[in-house]
Amino acid sequence: MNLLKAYVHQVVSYHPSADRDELFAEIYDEICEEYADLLVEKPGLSEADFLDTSKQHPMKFAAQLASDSSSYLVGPQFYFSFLSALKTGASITAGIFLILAVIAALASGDHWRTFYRVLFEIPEALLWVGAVILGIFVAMEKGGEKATWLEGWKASDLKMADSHQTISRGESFFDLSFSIFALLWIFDVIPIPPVLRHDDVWIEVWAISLPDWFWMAAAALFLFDIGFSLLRLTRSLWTRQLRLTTIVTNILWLALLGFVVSQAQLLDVAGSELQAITDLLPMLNKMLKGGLTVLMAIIAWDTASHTWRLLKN
Amino acid sequence: MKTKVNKENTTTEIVDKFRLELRRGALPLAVLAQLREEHYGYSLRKRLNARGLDIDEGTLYPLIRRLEKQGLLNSEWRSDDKRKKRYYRISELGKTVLTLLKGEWQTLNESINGILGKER
Repeated sequence: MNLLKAYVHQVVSYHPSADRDELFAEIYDEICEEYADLLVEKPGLSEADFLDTSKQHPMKFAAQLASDSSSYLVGPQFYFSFLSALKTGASITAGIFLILAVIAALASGDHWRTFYRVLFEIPEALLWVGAVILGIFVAMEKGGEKATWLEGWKASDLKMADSHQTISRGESFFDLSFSIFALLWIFDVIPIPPVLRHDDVWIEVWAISLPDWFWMAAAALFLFDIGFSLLRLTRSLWTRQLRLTTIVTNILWLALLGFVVSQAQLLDVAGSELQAITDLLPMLNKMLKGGLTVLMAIIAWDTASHTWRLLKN
Repeated sequence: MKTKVNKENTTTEIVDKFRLELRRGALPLAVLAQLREEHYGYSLRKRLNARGLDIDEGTLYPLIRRLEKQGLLNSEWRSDDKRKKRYYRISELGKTVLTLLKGEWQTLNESINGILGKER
């Protein structure tokens, strides 16, 4: 029943998360019974053949199941395709702008200001992309077009999934961006922005005293996170393998961060500013350790949540 | 030749649309009447299909959901074999509404039959 389960997971994943569990239970039961009945008539009928001959594209089926809902911006036929197009359009636009921001920042003398300037243009670009996509779908709706891209669907197109919990593209995109910047910073391609001003002096030259093996391990993990975030961006639902990988990398991050927090002194400043902020250093170290402890708590919560869902399924 | 094919297609499309509209009005009545006995989704669909009312899950579930929201049906989750099933049954309000709708249906049926008979 794995393919049937994957099909229903995919169908309910288009619905609001509060409705998914009940909808899954009901539709999965319905489809299993229908399949069992057909097996009596046609022994040996595979799940793939059953889905290919009796069921429509998961998005089309999801739209039918939601046809009594009044929360549409565009008609039921196009609603989930519209949402998918919006998400994909937003991801691609944000990705392009992020790459442009990095290129522009590296080419300019004032790295961070250039980077922020390009980044602040993203919201406006997203609004334009959203408006264009909405316009296209409204035009198709008014023109009586049909969602032909949902025709000719095959069960072999299904990606196996063991839950109907969707992977957040925003979260994957954040992880990807953060890992890229962290990696560039570790290899001294970009500096840390000056975030502290003391006695009219920007404190720019920070030093973090940690052993070489730590930086190598962190760089390796960031590199892995880049690949893993890219993989997650191509998937829509969580699988057992994706959850296990997340749990393992989270545990490795917890170990590394635990090591950092256990250090007596993390932060130091180099150069002439040292004298000016000597009194502030213990407090800054405490703040940094506090921030890292909060980060560890978030990662631990994420790990616990994935473990619970893994055991539940 | 091309025009004829197009005309046939248009006629089929128009009839299909009217058939859908006719069914849309009649389906709640059929579902309410059938749920005087307790059913879960698939058993209800099978029973309706056996009685000549072909209905797919994409139509049935939103309809059940709407009738339940209106208080015309009650539902209860039960575990059967390895899976959970949601059983539906008509509520007291549903029974009252069904009785009234049945009267409406019969009156409408007689009127339409009378009109169709005259045209013959």
